[in-house]
Amino acid sequence: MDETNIFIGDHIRLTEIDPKKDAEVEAQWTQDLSYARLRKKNPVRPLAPTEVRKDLDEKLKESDEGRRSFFYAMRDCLEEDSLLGFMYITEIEWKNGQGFLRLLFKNDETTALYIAEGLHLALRYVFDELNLYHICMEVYDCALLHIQAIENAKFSLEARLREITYITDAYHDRLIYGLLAEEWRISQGAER
Amino acid sequence: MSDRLQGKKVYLRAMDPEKDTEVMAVWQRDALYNRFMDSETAMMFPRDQMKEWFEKRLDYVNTFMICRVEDDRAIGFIELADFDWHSGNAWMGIGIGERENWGKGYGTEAQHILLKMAFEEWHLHRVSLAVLGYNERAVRSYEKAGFMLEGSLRGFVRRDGKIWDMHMMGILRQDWDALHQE
Repeated sequence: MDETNIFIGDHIRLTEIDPKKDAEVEAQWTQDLSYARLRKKNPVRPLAPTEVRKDLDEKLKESDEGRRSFFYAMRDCLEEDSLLGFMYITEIEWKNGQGFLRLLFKNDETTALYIAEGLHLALRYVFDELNLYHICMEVYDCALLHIQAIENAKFSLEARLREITYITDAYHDRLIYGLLAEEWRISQGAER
Repeated sequence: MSDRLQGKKVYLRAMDPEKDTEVMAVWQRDALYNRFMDSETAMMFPRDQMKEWFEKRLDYVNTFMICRVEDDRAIGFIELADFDWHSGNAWMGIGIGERENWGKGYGTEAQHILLKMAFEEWHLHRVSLAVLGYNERAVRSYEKAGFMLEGSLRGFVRRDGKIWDMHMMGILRQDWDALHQE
């Protein structure tokens, strides 16, 4: 058995969510509409701490009851309390080995710094622990930092849903990227 | 009176859980129908449970029964769900119940009626759908109705020891207008 702590990377660690404390922080992030858009269906607007708290509580309840979704916080390794973002694995179909992954970082600067490591931790959990066969990531065509990181992680563009969302005065496509477990294992082997 | 919901072979009417649960439960007993509908485990449920589920769904899903003109019989359903009114997108689902009614153009005409509603009454910008890779008849029918294949999620469903993709399809208002200019 590999003794590696798969919840820890070089700079970030995955931990449980603290709905009360984390809601306060995340609510502040939603003042930036580009973050709020990751957290609320249209029409986009900032969220109050009580709304975020309620939503996090619901997510954790759903995870506990259904075991078809997992929600974790991503924190700075050096400062245990410093929240960097969240990792969501949702819509898992155990019978088909499928799921959807999302990484939410507090702003573009944090995304640029940590998304590659966040993806590495997330994919290790998805394939080595959850044993999924295929994982999807959905992003809008304007999320360039995410697209670059996802492509660097060897995902393939599997679908482009044309003009499916309206963001800041224009329609945008939703891109669905996918990665198979075997592709991930090959890419890991190549890294070593 | 508006004839918006009326086609040559079929017309659409509101789905009524009280009246329509029975026939929809019977369709679920055909495993093939059941396995066309969902990538998740094919299942059957007691009538009361299904009725309650349909009643709850009416709050956020627009479901119609597809009825045959010649005898008023409900032969399938068609619906739009998961509305994003802000972006003008919704997701379509459709099922024709009994095998003897498959391949007769009922579904294609029902889609035409629904898409006309979606674009010209509800002012949607786009209608989306997902279809399992082994449901080739459905893909052809969606293409006939104007949907375009926008990609395939690889190896999305496992059945009978095999692995199939999930196709993603969509039609934009401008696609619809181009198809129906005359």
